[in-house]
Amino acid sequence: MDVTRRSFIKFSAGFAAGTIVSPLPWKLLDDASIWSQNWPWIARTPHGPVTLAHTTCTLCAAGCGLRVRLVGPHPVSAWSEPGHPTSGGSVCPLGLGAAQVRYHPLRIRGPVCRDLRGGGATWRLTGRDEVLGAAGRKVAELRSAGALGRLAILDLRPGRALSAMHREFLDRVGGGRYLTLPDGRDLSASALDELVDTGGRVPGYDLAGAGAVVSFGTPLLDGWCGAGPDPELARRRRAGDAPFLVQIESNASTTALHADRWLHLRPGTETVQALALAHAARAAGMVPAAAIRALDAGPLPGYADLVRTWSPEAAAGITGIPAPELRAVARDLARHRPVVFVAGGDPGGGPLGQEEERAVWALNLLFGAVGRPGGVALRHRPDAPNGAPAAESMRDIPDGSLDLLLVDASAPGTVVPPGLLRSKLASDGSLMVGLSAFAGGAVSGADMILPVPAPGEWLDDVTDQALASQGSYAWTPPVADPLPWARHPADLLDGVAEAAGLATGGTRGKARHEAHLRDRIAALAAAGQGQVFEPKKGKARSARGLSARELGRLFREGACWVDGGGSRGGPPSLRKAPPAGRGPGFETAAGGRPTAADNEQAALPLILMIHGQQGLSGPAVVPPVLTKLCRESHLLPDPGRARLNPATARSHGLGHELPADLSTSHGRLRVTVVHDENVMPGVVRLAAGPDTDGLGEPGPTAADVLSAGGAGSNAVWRLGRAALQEVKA
Amino acid sequence: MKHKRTGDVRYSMVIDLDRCTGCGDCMVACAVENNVAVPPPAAQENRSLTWMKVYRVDNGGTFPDRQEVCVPIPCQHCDHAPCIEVCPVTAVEMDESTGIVGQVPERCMGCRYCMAACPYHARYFNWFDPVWPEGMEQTLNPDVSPRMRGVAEKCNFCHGRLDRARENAAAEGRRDLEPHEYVPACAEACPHGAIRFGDLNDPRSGIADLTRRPEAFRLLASLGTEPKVHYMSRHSWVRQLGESRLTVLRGKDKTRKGAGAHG
Repeated sequence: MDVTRRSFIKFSAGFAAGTIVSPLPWKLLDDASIWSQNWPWIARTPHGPVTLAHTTCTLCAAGCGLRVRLVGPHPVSAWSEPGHPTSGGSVCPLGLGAAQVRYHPLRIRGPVCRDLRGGGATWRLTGRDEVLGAAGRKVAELRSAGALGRLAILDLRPGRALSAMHREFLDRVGGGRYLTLPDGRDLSASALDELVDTGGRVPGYDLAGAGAVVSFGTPLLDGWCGAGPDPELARRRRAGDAPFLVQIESNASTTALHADRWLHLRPGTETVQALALAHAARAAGMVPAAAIRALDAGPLPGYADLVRTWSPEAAAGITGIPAPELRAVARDLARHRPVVFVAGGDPGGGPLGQEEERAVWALNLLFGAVGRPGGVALRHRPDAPNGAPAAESMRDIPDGSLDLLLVDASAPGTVVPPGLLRSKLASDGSLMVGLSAFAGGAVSGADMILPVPAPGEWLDDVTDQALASQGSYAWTPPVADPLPWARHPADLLDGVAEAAGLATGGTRGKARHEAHLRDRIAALAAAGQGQVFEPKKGKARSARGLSARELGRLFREGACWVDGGGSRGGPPSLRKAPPAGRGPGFETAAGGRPTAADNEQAALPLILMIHGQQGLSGPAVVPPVLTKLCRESHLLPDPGRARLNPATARSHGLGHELPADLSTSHGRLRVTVVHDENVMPGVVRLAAGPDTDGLGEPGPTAADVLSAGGAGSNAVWRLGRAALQEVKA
Repeated sequence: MKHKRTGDVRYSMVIDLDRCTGCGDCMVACAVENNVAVPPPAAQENRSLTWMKVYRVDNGGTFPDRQEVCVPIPCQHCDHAPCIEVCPVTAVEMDESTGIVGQVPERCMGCRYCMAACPYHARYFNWFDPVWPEGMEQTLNPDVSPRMRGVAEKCNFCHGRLDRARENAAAEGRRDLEPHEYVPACAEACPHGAIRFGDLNDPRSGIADLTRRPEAFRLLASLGTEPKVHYMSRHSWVRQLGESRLTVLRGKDKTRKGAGAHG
């Protein structure tokens, strides 16, 4: 056959046309895409038998039950424990990401100290003996100088068995201070103590039985417990049985937007609002005059006059809430009894303030809510034979008064304002040593860090947090082995004591800690009260008749003891007089909490309001998956975004999504301005977390936000003043 | 081409927007269950991977009259899915036995036609290699393969869970699943019970009843994609916004003018 030019072209054209309609080029295209997409460094999933374990989350103080899925020895995911009594069968995003925390980029691979060659901004690995030796030498030095008052241990999750170990350490040393850092909930609970004799009992909101809940800015649906809603409220919403919710808050938060009534009061006027609410309730006949007189004659002198003065009409000029709206709320409350008034502050924005707390507790007392079902339960904490040591607040000790500070951050989740810890240390020769699994969070400012197991790797215990609806106690059975370089916090305290030349008595710290845990179980078994939830069976049983051994076995399987809620021991009696040294109680905030002097307002025209969720506020270790909420979407505001009302932004010449410098009397911060109609005009809102800087994310951190808000120096930092200046390109 | 569903199971989701508080549990649970990677630091938001994404939607009002709801948007698993129509390599297909629209990453060549075709913006592209911090690959779910760079991905109603549930049922000699045996991660995690899931053809699941309630609606229903994700809200502005946002934006409803969504 002759091959002509024509036949060659025809063959080539036919071949080309035929190839296009054949699968060949498409298969090649497909294979090429697969070859170019699959590389050996793409992650491989773990393999092994799948098992379930039950434990308790310690990433914040809420103590939610977790059902952990393991593949071989690896925890791969954590889910809510159905029916768990303290979490109501739900868990927040932080808890859902708990399995990732073990491998967090901030996890330290051994003892670390500040790398002074880099200006102290970075860490370098060092030897454990080096850190223990430095701390031990400091202890010995303070002992020989008779200056043990300059030694302190900061317990960021008091009430645990480990807290007793802290006291033991101080006893062995022969002195020193045991410090805690109370949050808004703790301070709220202590404010009730000023008004009534609780008989050593602690208050807790009984939201399960409440007909109406009046919240003074408490993020009940967005970050009150963990980064999630109050479990009891969530449970009632699921069941279609939600109480009537009144949110008294300046900005349109999630809780405000879902409330049945939202009173958008001017920032800092909660005290006046509470007094006016008392006035309106008295006028509606809901509150007996005798109750107001009793408070006036007892712990709150002058209270009756204040309630009389702050009628809804008079208060409207301060709070901005029209009188008819407030009277309508009073009528609503009359229809939805029993009523409970909730305060305690915002986890990121910090405490509400003692005066505001008093005003809210006074409302609870006027409505007879304290000690009544559906109000405020008063209960005893689970019996602890070794007891929580008497504690001082970190904020109450003078600046520069410590030479050695040991910070136990083995349980993360506490908001530690940056600069606060360092300010308590002497400027020369002082030492801060952190016990933590991470080079971040509360120990960000430490000089040295000793690695402890991460949450989920060691047996700790969890008690109920302040204002929780019921007393509870659980253990955290480990779901993974600790990494080789991590040591039990109690062993590390022993190491410090040994390095100081002190005898430790033979038994290792970890063993003594476990003995304390068993003692607590024995006390629960002896009391025989309450119920024990067994996650394996998904139901609770009475604790009566359970031996300490049996109870211990259940706790090692993730059980949780609850007291069943409700008050113990009847309603409390009012105190006869205010505490010594305290005035009538409403000196400062009765006209609205001042946010700045007049001259400062001219330079800083905006009101700065910081907010955040529990476990995600302040310098914190955030699971990478939470970037889905704050970087890959804007569901959670991150610290770099300053939100303000569009009208306010326009009047200040601030464009949407444009950079600006935020100035306060405490510092300066580069932020991105976000126009948000949910923010009250004249206000700028900044989130104190979640902190993704540990994941390499650029931009301001939660520590920067808290610093700018003055959280390190002020006990109440939820309100401040700020100015915003757009950054020109 | 119309895809006719022939199976006797038709999985569906009903999301009650009045209950949703935008806590983000669903987004995190989805990412944990399905090994959804985290883009590198400082990556643009439009490079994100969120099979379930919660948008905040408002009524266009100003403070304090503004109302807002959170709208979780997974793949809508449309009966007439545009993404299936446009995929040139059959990487998207509907499981006729369940009604679930699945994505086959091994077939995907990364053309992103499906993303352009999806009216719900519920498809995502892997701009980066899926990389986790060192050691964190040990927390990946072994039932779900990590996807590679250069392919599209989306919600598949946690198909790995469906497979597990079927295997468990088969081990007990059963073919049919009980309603509680198969629930996607988002529905399991939702603390407010806003996300409910079940078989539209199974009266025990209660899903069909919910979809017939007057407050139920589907997103962009007028497009005729027949999504199997239903929403509920007692607020008429939410329903109007969800069903036919174009009407709102054209200003036919003056009271809702300016309403919109932001993620």
